[in-house]
Amino acid sequence: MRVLLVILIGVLAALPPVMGQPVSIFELNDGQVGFTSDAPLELIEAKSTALRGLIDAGKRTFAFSIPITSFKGFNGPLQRVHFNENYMESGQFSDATFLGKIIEPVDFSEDGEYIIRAKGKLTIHGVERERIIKSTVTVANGELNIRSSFTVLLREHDIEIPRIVFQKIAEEIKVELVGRMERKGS
Amino acid sequence: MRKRYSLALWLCLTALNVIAQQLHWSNFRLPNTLKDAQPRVLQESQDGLIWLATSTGLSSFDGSTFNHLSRRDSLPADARAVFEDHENTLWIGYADGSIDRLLNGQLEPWEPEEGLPAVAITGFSEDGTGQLWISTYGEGAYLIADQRLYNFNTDDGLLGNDIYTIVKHPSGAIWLGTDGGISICKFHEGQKSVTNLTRADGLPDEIVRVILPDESGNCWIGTHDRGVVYFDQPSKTFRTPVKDWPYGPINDLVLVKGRELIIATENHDGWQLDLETNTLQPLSPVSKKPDTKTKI
Repeated sequence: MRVLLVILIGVLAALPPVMGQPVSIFELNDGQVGFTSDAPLELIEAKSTALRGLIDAGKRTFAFSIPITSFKGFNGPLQRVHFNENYMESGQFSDATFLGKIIEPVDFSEDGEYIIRAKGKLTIHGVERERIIKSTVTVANGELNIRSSFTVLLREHDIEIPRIVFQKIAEEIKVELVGRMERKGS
Repeated sequence: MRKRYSLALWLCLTALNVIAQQLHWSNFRLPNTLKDAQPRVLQESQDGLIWLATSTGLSSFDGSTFNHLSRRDSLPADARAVFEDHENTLWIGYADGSIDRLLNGQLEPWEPEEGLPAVAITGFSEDGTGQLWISTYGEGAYLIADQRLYNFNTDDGLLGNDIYTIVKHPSGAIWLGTDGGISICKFHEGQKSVTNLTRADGLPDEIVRVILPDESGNCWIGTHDRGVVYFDQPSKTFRTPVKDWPYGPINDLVLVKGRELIIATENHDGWQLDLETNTLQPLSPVSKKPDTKTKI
């Protein structure tokens, strides 16, 4: 994970700066990602608290990562095993990542609530897709609190569900993210 | 966003007959309910209605009556773009980035999961595969593909994020007029493609405000400082029929029967370029029918 964060910081550093913005990097160390598969015959929910990420407020760039094996919940241990070994193939594709740039010019030095759209590459199961993900960022006392809801279509990331269980796993997964980010080095 | 006085307003509200290079006009007065409205864009829908995007919202005109449509919840109504897609759904874009669709006679907000632009919508178009594109003034262009919204901006190679015009080229690609030239965009199976035409390619003025393609892919281009420019598709060359254009930025172009190019400028002038003789003359009505009073 630390190696991945170093890589992500390198990616952020390589992206061009936005003029006029103070250089300031926020690091996420307290976050949760949950997903829900609401299929006709089964409801599956799982959560992870292992989300990591960085936002460079000056360049409006960001990088987030989460290990697939960190998700817990499910409806039983065997379901979790199937999730990792058969569907997500987490042995081969260990992390989901989202890297890119915020579309709006936004000043995180000012307290307030901001609706932002993050445009970037979402990689799940080794398949990269460009996405725009809308989030609400609340800035208070130098911290960012992020909330986001979005969907992931399994077919977009080549995640195959066997016909025998197709009524137990939804084609569209709902994802919820909350996180608190602090200025790096604070 | 510059104010645009669309030439299409003149022409779509007229009965046009080009006889011996002369244009005949009919004038239609806007009703009192629209007296403060600044018409921006006209669009004729499949059912023959003329739709006006104005500073006070969307109105339709059936030839005798204007009908104004109100937005929900008193949303801001400065309409900047209107477009009918291949499924005959009308899309309306506003100055604040919001977008409505006209469904069952009602304006319904369109709210994608990805969120809406935070800047003015400047136009809509469909590419050769029927995908809807949305141009903005400040965020480049958006595309709806496979139920997802994608964004093309300068990070993707666009020449500018302020898009003045968006058109479908006969090749199927989307051509965008920007402050840096023409960006040609395609999106296929998740892959973006952007190529550009700039001064380096012979484009006389990089500020491109209007693009008018013909069936062969040649384009008439309206620019900010250099007037009209003709782009020859086979040779990929540009020529300027009117040298030293002194009439200001061009707002709109209409080609009439392949013989006359009607030019509207930001200075509220109209010009008529005879493409056979290459002569330019001011637009003026040959005969003026009495004004037709419209019903409110």
